[in-house]
Formats: sequence, structure tokens, C-alpha cells
Amino acid sequence: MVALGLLVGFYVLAFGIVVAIALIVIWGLRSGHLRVQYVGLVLVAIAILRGVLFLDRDHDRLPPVRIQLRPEQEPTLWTEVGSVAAAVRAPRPQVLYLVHDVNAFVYQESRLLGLRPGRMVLGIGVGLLTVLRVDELRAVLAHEFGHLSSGDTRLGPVVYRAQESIQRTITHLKDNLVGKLFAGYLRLFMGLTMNISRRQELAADINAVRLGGQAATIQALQAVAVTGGAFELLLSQYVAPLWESGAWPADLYGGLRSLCAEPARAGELDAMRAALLAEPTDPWDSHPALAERLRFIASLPPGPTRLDPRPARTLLADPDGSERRMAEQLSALATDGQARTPVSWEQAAQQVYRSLLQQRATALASAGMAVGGDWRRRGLEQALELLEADRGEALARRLVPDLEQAPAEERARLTGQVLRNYLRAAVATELAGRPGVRWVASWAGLAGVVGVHGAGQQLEELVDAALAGPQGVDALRRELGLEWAGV
Amino acid sequence: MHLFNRGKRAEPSREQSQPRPELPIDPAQGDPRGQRLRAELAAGNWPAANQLLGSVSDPDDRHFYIDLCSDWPGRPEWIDQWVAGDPGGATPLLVRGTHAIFWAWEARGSARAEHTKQEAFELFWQRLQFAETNLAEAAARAPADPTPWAYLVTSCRGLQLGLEEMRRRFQQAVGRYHWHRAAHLQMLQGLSDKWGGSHLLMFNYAREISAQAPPGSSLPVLVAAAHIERWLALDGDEQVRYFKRPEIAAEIHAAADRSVRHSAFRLQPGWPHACNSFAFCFALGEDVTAARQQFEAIGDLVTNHPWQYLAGNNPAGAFLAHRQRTYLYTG
Repeated sequence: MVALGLLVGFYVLAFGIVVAIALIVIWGLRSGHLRVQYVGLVLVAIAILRGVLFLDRDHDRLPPVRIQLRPEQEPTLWTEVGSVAAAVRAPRPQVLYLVHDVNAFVYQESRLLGLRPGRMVLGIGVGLLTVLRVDELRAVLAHEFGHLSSGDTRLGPVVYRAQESIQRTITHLKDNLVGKLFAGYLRLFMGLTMNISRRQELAADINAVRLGGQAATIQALQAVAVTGGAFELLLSQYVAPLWESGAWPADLYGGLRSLCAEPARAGELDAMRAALLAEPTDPWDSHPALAERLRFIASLPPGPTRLDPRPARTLLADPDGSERRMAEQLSALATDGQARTPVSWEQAAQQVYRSLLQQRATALASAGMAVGGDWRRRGLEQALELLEADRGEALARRLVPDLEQAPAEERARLTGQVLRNYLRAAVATELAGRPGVRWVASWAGLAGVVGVHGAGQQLEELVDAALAGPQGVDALRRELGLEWAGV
Repeated sequence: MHLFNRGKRAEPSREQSQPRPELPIDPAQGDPRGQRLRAELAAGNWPAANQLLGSVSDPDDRHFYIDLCSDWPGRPEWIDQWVAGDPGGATPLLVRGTHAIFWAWEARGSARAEHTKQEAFELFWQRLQFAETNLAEAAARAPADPTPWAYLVTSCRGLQLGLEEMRRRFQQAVGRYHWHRAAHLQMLQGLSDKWGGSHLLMFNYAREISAQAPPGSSLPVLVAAAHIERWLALDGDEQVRYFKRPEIAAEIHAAADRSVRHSAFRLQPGWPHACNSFAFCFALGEDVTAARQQFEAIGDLVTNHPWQYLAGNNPAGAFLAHRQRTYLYTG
């Protein structure tokens, strides 16, 4: 009720100002006092109207990449969705979209400035289907439907839209006095409604546990959070270079599964998880923090324990085909249609990543020479000596000058990451120069090498050992047959 | 010697809007044969230039004259005519490749990388790629000639192929002529901090080469050039004080003693560049006696480098100001 009142209040405020401005301008016209300054007032009125009237555009809210799934095309998924909805006494969604990311959402279209409800829309990310099991997906869907069954999606969109609308009005108004007035209103609105949204989230989690069980819900929540980060990593490190070269990854989501399962990435993903768990709940955040939700879920009765360990993607009629279509659409959107050639991860390693790693190897050699200061000796040798002498940070700063701007508490971790990336590239490039060794796809880094005596596994071990201390550096040096100028 | 920070230099004949320097900069640095070469090419007479180059055997001289053939604004028509007119010849490809390097820097401008626009960079890289193709072919056609390799050191730096590749090319050049002047100076630029090397690396290199160079060689100018690069990277007070610091002044004096002030120093074509570099260091260090000696040797043969570091669009003006000041203090 409070939210509704505030929403109405927002419209009253907005239209009030517009009417007042209109009256001032009309008075000015009549009395002949019209001045240039009035143009500013008219612009303010236009900004407010633009902010308010965009309200009904549902398409603005939908993710740009989406595939609509009809019941006849995807009967199994629709049945699953329908049974979860029925189990939590929520209305069955009328529209189902497949979207690209690691997320799910449900919302109700709105009519009449957010006051009248429209169709129920459910969106499921391919990234979510990729990593979850069926019971975990059930928990996620039950959570989303929890919003519908408790009746809060009707209010939900109202709250959400009002926030968006006020925010948009503020953006249009920039930093002037009227803008500040709306900003103040927004703070008041958020303060009152965020608490409501957060409580709704926890109530939805009760639904999730009731249907999916405690273990699956906890597992799903963690997986969603971490896979989201892994997907970003995949896009920025693996996919972006392909896009730049005019290619797109045919098995994008297979890549996501492999990345999440890669032992060499476990540390990185664990760090992501730890960072997410350490985040406190922000009063301006509509979702409670992950840790708070997990604590809450753990305090609930355990719910059903009958597990369904099938991968959630098997609910799709043609999971590989759907993943491929999504990868193609996402790539087309991200590159404005420039990425035309589908490539396998193996092809990507051979054609694109290999040269990226060679460039990194070159950069490390140059940095080793620049910091080591000896123009006659190999840069990699000098880089290894710097690592041995615990001067890795100077080397890393040469490679990525922005490291200096990184906050002090992050610097050590980032430095380690930079050194690992570049050293791995340099070692792979060295090994790839040997007869019988070739480049292959790798989820530990962009590409790896395989060849005689299992050079692939050797690569990760050699690099990790070299970064761990002088003994490892020495082992790497011997393996690569490099000289050592030390005493 | 050009290609240090091209684009900053004044080009009065090209840009009418710029203030005319009181002293014209002679690209041939007073060398009569070089002046004739420029005049022939200005008239598009490439066969004459080809013939003249054929009579040059000293590698430093050859590099100097190839520079003079190549450093033209835009892209003169006679470059392709020369290539077509001497099929199988190494020299026209060398000139076309070298010209493409100058032409690439013309597109890039002289600003540091972070201030250069993306389109300018693309043109820069494109032209450098063209330069590489031509120079590689020139090197294949004249396997004993160090000149293409010396220029490949420069294009390598622009294309950011890394310090190891640059050293490989440098070694190809000095393997053919051990004391190659331009290859050494270009290598110094490539090892400097602003091009991905470091001050430490640059000084280690400059001092080592300078110490090994035969007496009277121009190569100890590398030490002066390195100090000029170091000075350029400083700001404010530190920059003002730099050449006055006793240990630095002493090192520059020692380098001058082994090169331009040595009895064995030869006035080979392009010699004024070394004297200009030393004059610059001494003048900025307010060592007027030493500066005067260099200014007297130079006469009016001012070079763009290093004076363009003081006044991008009027290096000759900067030269004149310092020369006047030096003469004022020394009577």
C-alpha cells in the first residue's frame, strides 16, 4: 500500500510540475513577459513527460537476446514450468523466453501506467539450464513463482517501474533543481520499498525450499552466483577475441560447463564465491545478500529430499541446437552482425588464441628485458630471474601499467593473475616450438599445448611451481633449457 | 638522422602558416652530394639518384643518402616509377620501404601513443606493414647490405613486435657492418622507456656500445642521446636541473672526448647530428665553454633532432636561442 501511495504521489508530483510549467508559460505568453529562460522550463517539462510516459514499454525490460519457446516446441520444459507453478499455487506463465545469461526472471506486463496487470512472462537463461540440475532448476523456478503466488508481482512491477521511471526522469533532468527534487523522492521511495522487496525475496525462498528441497536450493543459489561470474570471464577472455576476429563460438555453453569444471579455475571461482558471500546487504539493493539468503534457507525445514540429478538442459527438446542458436544470436547482437563464422573451441585455439598467447609471450620477454636491463640476453630468462628475486611486481607493472591504480588490497591478487597469464603464455609458446607439440583448447588459460610426454599437464604444473618460488623457477628453467646468469 | 620524433619538426616549405625559422634546416646537413641528390629527386629524376647511390659504398653514407631519398612529405610519384624502372633492383625497394616508414610516422604524428587517434594508428600500422614488405624484399635482393636491416629495426619498434625481434634485426644489421651508426641510434630509441624498453636498459646498452666503439667514432653520441631521452621523460625542476648534475655532465664530456672531440673524428656525411646532440646537452647544462665549441663546429648546420624536443614546430629557433645565449656568456 505504501508503494502504491508513493507511486501515485510520484505521478501527482510529476504532472503537478508539468502543469505548473505550462501555466507559467501560458501566463508568460499572455502577458508578454516571455523570456528565453522559459525554454529551460519547457525542457524540464519535456524531460519529466519522457520519463513518465516510457513507463509502458515492456520491451525495454526484456533482454535483447531472447528466443520465445512455445508449448508445442518445448513440451517438457513447459510441463515442468507448469507443474512448479501449480505446486506453489502461482498462475501459469503465458509467455516463456529463453535468454542468454545465467539468470531467471518472472514478471507481469503492465497496462495503464503500471496500475493494471497484463500477461505473465517467464525468462530462463541458457546459462542457468547449462549448469543446474533439474531439482535445482525447480528450486529456482519455485523461487521466481513465489513472487507470483504471494501476489507481489502485481505490486512488484509497480514498485520496480516506479523506481525505473523516477530514475529515468532524474537522468533526463540532469542536475538541476527539479532533478534534485525527484532524487530526494527516489531515496524516500527506495528506502520504503526496498525493505518490502527484500522480504518478498526471502518469502520466495521459502517456496523454493518447499519444492526443490534445502540442499538443491542452496546449491542452485551458489551455482547461479558463481556461474554468472564464470560466464562474464568466458565472454571477456575467450569470446571477445573471437568476436573481434569475426568468429563466434559454436559451443558457447559447452565452454561455460567446461570452464566451471576446470580444476585449474577452481581457485578463481572459489574466490568469486567467497567475495559474493562476503557482500553485506546494501539498503539500496532489492535482493538480500547471498549470505543472508543462505543463512535463512538453512534455518528452514529441509523440504523434499527426493533428488532429480538430470541436467536441467535435458528439459529442452534440442539442447545443443538451442544453445547454438542462442550463441549465434548473442554474437550477432554483440558484434552488430560482424561475427559470422562459427568455430569450435579447438579451432579457436589454433586460429585465434594461439596468436594472443604468442603476443603475451613477446610482451613478457620485452618486460623481462626492460626490467632486467640486459639487452643481450633473452627476456624470458630475465623474467624468470626477476620472479626468483621476488621482483614479480615490477614485472607485472610493466605488463599492465594499470595495476598501479588497483586498490592496495587487490594488488597482490591481480599481480599474481597477470604474472600467471603471461608466464603461462610464454611457457606454452616455448613448448609449442618443440617438434610434435601443438596448440589445443584449454580451460585453464586461453589455449594449451599437447604433445609428447603430456606437455599439456606439464604446462600448468610448471607455471604454478614457478610462481610459487625459486625451486619452481629453477625446474621451469631446466625444462625449457634456459640459461641462468645468477651466482 | 631522423625518425626520432618526426612530425614535430618545422617544415616551412610545406606549412606556410608556421613561423619561418630564421635558419633553414638543411636535410643534407651541408653535404654537397646529398644536396644534389635532393635536387634531382625534387625534379623527379630518379635515374640520376639511382646512379649517385650506386657510387656510394660506405654503409653509414649509404644509410644517410637513403634517408635523404626517402624523407619526403606525402608520396611522390617517382617512388613507384623508380621501382618499375629498375626491376630486380634492391635500391628502389629500399627507398620505397624507407619512405613508407617516414610516411607512417607522418600519419601517426609525434604524440605519445595515448594521445594518438585510432584512425591515425591504423594508417601508421598499414604503412609500416608496407614498409616491412619492401624492406624484406630489399634485404633478400642485397643480402650483404645492412641498410634494410637498420630500417627494419625502426619499423619493428612502430609495429611493437617486441624487444627480442628488434634485437634480432639489429644483430642482422651490425652483423653486416659492426659500427652501423643509424642501426645503433634506432636501437637506442627502441630500448627507451617510451617505446617499451626502460631507462635502465637504454643506458646499459648506450654505455656498453660507447665503451666498445673505436676512438673518434660517432657512436659515443649514444650516451648523449640516452641522457636526452631520460631528460625528456622528466618534468619541471628535475628536467631543468638534469644536465647540470655533475655526474651526468662528466659522462657526457667523456663521451664527447671519445667521439666529436677526438682527433680521429671524421666529418663524414651526417656528422652534424652528433655535434648537435652534444651541443644540446652542454647548452642545457649551461656549460657554455663546451657548448660554444660544438656550436662553432656546427656553424649553421642545425639538425631537427634533438632541438625539436625544445620547440616542436621550430627546432631551428631553439637552436638559435641557445647558440646566442652561449655566445653571449662566452663573449
